[in-house]
Amino acid sequence: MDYITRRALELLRLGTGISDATFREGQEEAIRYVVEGRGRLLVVQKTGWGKSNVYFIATKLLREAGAGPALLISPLLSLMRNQIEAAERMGVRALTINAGNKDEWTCVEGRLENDEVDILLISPERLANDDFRERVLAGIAARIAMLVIDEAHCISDWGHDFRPDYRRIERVARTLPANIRLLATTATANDRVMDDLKAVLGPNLHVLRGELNRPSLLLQTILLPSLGDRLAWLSDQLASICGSGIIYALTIRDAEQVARWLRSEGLNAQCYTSRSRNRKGLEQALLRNRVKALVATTALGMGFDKPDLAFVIHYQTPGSVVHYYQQVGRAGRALKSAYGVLLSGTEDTEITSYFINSAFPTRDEVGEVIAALENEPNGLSISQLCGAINVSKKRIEQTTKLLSLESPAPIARQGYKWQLTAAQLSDEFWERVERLTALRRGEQRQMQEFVALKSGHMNFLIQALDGNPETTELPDIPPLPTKPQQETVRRVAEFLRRTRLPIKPHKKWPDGGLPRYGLRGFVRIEHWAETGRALYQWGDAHLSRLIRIGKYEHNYFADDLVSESFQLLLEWNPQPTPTWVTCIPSRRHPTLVRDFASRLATELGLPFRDALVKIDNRPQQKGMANSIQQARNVDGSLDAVSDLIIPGPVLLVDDMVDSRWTLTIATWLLRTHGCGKVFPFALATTATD
Amino acid sequence: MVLDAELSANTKAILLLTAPLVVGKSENSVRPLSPAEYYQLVYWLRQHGREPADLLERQTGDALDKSELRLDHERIGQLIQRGFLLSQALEHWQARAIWVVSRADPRYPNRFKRRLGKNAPPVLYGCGDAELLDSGGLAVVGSREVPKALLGYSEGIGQLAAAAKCIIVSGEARGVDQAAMRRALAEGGRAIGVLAGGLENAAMARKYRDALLDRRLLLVSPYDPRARFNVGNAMQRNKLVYALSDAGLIVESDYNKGGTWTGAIEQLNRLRFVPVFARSDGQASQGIEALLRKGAHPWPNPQTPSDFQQVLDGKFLAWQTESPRQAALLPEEEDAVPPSAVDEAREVTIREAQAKDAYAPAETPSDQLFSKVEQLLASINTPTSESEVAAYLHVTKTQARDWLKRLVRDGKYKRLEKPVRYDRIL
Repeated sequence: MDYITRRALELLRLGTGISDATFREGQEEAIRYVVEGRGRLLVVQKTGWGKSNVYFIATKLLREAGAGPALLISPLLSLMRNQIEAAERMGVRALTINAGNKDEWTCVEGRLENDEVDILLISPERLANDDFRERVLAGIAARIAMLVIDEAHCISDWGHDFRPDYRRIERVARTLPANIRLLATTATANDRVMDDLKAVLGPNLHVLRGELNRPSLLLQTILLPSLGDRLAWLSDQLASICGSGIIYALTIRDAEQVARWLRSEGLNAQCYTSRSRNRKGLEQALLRNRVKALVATTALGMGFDKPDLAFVIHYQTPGSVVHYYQQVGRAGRALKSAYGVLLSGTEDTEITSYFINSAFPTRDEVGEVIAALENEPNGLSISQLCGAINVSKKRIEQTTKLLSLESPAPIARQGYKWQLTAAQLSDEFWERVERLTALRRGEQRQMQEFVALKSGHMNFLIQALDGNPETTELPDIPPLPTKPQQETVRRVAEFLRRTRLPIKPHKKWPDGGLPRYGLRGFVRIEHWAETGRALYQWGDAHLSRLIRIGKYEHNYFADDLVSESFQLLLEWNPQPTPTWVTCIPSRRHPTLVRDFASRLATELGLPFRDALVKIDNRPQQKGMANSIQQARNVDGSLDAVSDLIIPGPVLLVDDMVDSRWTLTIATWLLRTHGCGKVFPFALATTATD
Repeated sequence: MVLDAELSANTKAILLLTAPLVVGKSENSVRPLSPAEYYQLVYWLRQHGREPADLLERQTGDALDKSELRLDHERIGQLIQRGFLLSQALEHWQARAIWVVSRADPRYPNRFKRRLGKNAPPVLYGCGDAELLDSGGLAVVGSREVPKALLGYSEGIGQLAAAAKCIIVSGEARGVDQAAMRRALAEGGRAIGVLAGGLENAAMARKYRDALLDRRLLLVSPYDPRARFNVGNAMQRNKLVYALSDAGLIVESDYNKGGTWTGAIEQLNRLRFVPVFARSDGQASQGIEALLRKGAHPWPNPQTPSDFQQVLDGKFLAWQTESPRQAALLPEEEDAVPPSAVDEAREVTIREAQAKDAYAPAETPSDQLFSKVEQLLASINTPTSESEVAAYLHVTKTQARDWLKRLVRDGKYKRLEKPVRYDRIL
C-alpha cells in the first residue's frame, strides 16, 4: 500500500489539535515503513515520544486503502484513554474491550461485527481468555491486517517485566504470516531484551531507537526506614511542591493507606489500584490537575501520558531499574523541571522478595495440580481443584495458567475444566523459572545500589539500560529535604490508631457446602454477621509487637491491648449496642482468647459467656491454603451451648481472623440458638476482602 | 514432533488456503479451497515458477489477478488475509499437543502422496508420534454394530499385531476399529487412528494419553481438530486408512451399503492400494461373503506373530490362487507385471515426489504405469483381445481388461464386438 505524506501530516495535525504540528524524529519513517508493508518494525522510544501517533496514523492510512482492522495488545489500557481521544480526532475508530468496561462490551462487539472498528485495543489477559477469543476475536481474526504489540519488552523472558501472558503473544508473533503487518513498541529495552525480540520477531526486524535521557528530571533517593517517617515526609513535601504528580506504592494496601493518610492531612490524594472502581475518572482528575496526587500501584501503568506531571515519588523501592525508569520517566516531559524521588524503607526488600519468590509455582504445587488432574479423566474446575488439594486458590489459578501457556502445554482448559493433554511439562519450564528468579534477584540488588547513590542517578539508570550516558545537566531546582518534621510524625501515629480494617463475614457458604452442618448455597440474611472490626492497622509497629508477643510468647494478651480495644469499641459504637460478650474457643490455647475477651467484657461492663465450644480437634486454620479447605476444616467442629446464650446482640471476639469461616459459622450457630445480632471483633486480620 | 519446529511459509500458506481454521463458534465467512481448487491454484503457481508461500507477497497477488485462472481471486485474497486467525488456531492446537503438517513438509507421509495423488489431503492434523505415518501396518476395518464375538475377534487381531510389532491402522470408530486398537495398545503395541472428525476431543481423552505419551499411538485427521464427525468425512477417511497400511482386514461389513462396504469395494475395484483380506472364520455374514466373492482374500488366520508377519509380507497369498484380481499388486508374483515397468514407474514416481511433489501430486504410480502400458501396446497394430493383451504384458486378464477399458474411456482405443477386441484409434 502506498504511503501518502500529505494525508499522514493532516492526520497528525487533526490528532494533536495543533494546526502546524510536524512529525517528531523517526515518527514519519515508522509510519511509512508500516504502511508500505516493508517488514516487521520495532520502535524503541521513551514514553511521550508519540508511539500512538505511529500506530493510529498507520491504521487510518491502511483502512483508507481498504485493509482490515488493526489489533493492539497493551498490558495496561489505562494509558490509552487520552490517546483514544486523539485517535478519535483523526477519525480513527479506536475501541477497547477490557476488564474495566464490561458494560460496553456488547456495543463494541456489535460494532466489530459491522466492521465499524478501525483498531481494537485489548490486554494480553483478554487475548488469553478463551471466551473472548472464541466469541469476539474469532469474528474479526480473519480480517486483521496489522498487529501492534505495545510494551513489547514484556515478550522477552530476559526482560524485567516478562509476563506469562506474553508467551502467547510471542507465539502469535512467530506464527503470524509475513503478509500481516507487525509493529512492536517499547520504551525500554536493554541489549539482552533486544536480542530476544529479534529472535522472536524475526532476523529482519527493523529497529528505530531513540534516546533515554530525561534532562528535566531531578532524581533523588532518601532512606527512611520507618513507614511512619515516610508518611510524614510525604505530607510535608506534597504541600510544598507545585503541580500534581504520582506516588507509587508496591502494594494495594500501602497505596490505600497512603491516600487515606494524605487526605486526613487535607491533601487531595486519591488511590489508584487495580481495585479502584473509577479509574477513568481518576486519570482525568490527574490530567486536569484536579488532584494533588494519585497514589498508585503499577496499575497506573506504562505510558500514562501527562506532559506536565510535576513529580513522581516512590513510597517504596520498585523491583528493577527498568520499572523505576519507566515510572519516574513520566514526570516533567513538558516541564523545565520535575522531581523524581525514591523513598526507601525496611519493608521494600521483603515485599519485592515476596514478589520474586511467589512469581512461579513450586514443584510441589505443580505436582499436586497434575496429580489431582491425573485422578479425574474428565478434568477439574478451579473450585474443584481447591477442594482436592491444599493449595491456595490464587496459587492454583497461577499454576494452571502458567502450565497452560507452556508449549506444548501439559494441561488445557476444555470448557470450565482443566484437563491433562498428551504432553508433559518440559524441564525447560523449570530452567526458565530458575533463570528468571536469578535475574530478578540481580535487578533487586541493582536497585539497592541505586538507592545508595549520592549523585549521578540519571547516568546510573541510562547505563543500566544500555543507553548512551551523556554529561547530564541537572535542572535548576533545589533537592527536597531528607527528614520529616517531628510534629507530622506524631500525627501519623494518631492516624494509624484511628483507621481500622473492617471484617466482613461471608454471605455464601463455600462451593460444595458444609456437609456436616448441612449448609450450602447462600447464608440466610438472618444468619449474617454484622461488619466487624480489627484492632491492628498495617504499619503500627507497637500493636504488632504486643499481639505477636501475647500470642506466641506469653500466651496472654497485655492489658494495653484490652484498653486499646476498649477505645476502639467506643469509637466504633456498634448499633444495636451489644449486651454481652463471647469468643471463639480453642483447644490448643484454651485461655488465650477467652481470658482476653472476658477482661474486655469487664472493661465494657458486660457479661462474658463461653457460649461456643469446640467439639472436634482440627489442624490449625493457618495450615489450610485455600478458602474451601479452611471452611471444611471448621465444618462440624464448633457448637453452641444454648443455655449460655443471651438473646440480645453480642460482641464475638477472636485474636486473628484469616478466612473468616470460623466467624461466619460461629455467627450462624449463635443466631440459630436464639442470639441477637453478632458483631465480630479481632485483634488482627489478614482478610483483604 | 510437535509444532516446535517452526511452520514453513508454504505450510502457513496452504493452511490459509485450505483449512477452515475453526477457533470460535462463528462461521467462516469465506470458504476454504477444496483439494481440487487448491491443486488447480498450485499448478498455476508451479507453471509460473512460484510456490504457495509467494501468495503472501503482493506481486504474486497481482499476477494472480491478471491470470486466466478460474478461481475467485477475491476469495483467495480473503483466505490469505486470515493470518491472525491462523496464529490463533495454531495456538489453540499447540496448547492441546496437536500438530499440523502440509504437503510441503518433509514429514508429510509419502504413502499419501504416492497412493492418493490428487486426493491426498493438503493438510494433516495429528497428535502423537508422526513417525508412525510411514511405518505401514494392518488396516482393521469393520462395522460399528457387531456381535460381541466379533469384538473379541478384533481384539485378537490387535493382540497378535502387538506381538508381531505391527501397527494397527483403524478409523477409531466404535466397534471393530476401537476393539482392535484398544487391545493392541493394551498389549504394548502401536496403533494409528485416522479420525473423520473430533481430533481435539480424542487428543484430550484420558484413555489415549498414556499411549500418546509413550509414542505408541498416533491420532491423525485431515479435518480441522474441532470438526464434527460426518458421514462424508468418514467415507473419505477410509481411503486414508488403507493408504497408511500394508494390508487391510475387513472384520465385518454390511452388504452393499455403509462405509466399510464402500471403502472395501473401492479398494478391490479401483484404488488397490493394498491387498484386502476378509474374515474367513466365525459366523458368516452376507457382507463378508460378498466381499470374498468380489476378490477379497480370505484371512489366513495366522496364529503366531511370525505367521502374522508373513501374511503382511504377502507370503500367504501365493497359496491362494482364487483372487487373481489382486495378484498384480504383489511384487512377489513374478509374472504379474513386467518388473521393469513397475520398477521404472516407481523409480520415476519417487524421484518426482522428491523433486516437485511438495505442494501437489505428480502423476500417481498407477498413472505412470498406465502410460507405460500405453507405450508398450502402441507396437501392436491389429485389433487384439483381452487375453492376447494379458499374455503380451504378462498380467492377469482382469488387469488387461481394466487398462483396455481406460484406453477406451480416454478415447484412444475403440471396442469391437463379437468377438470383443480392441483397436487403436490412429
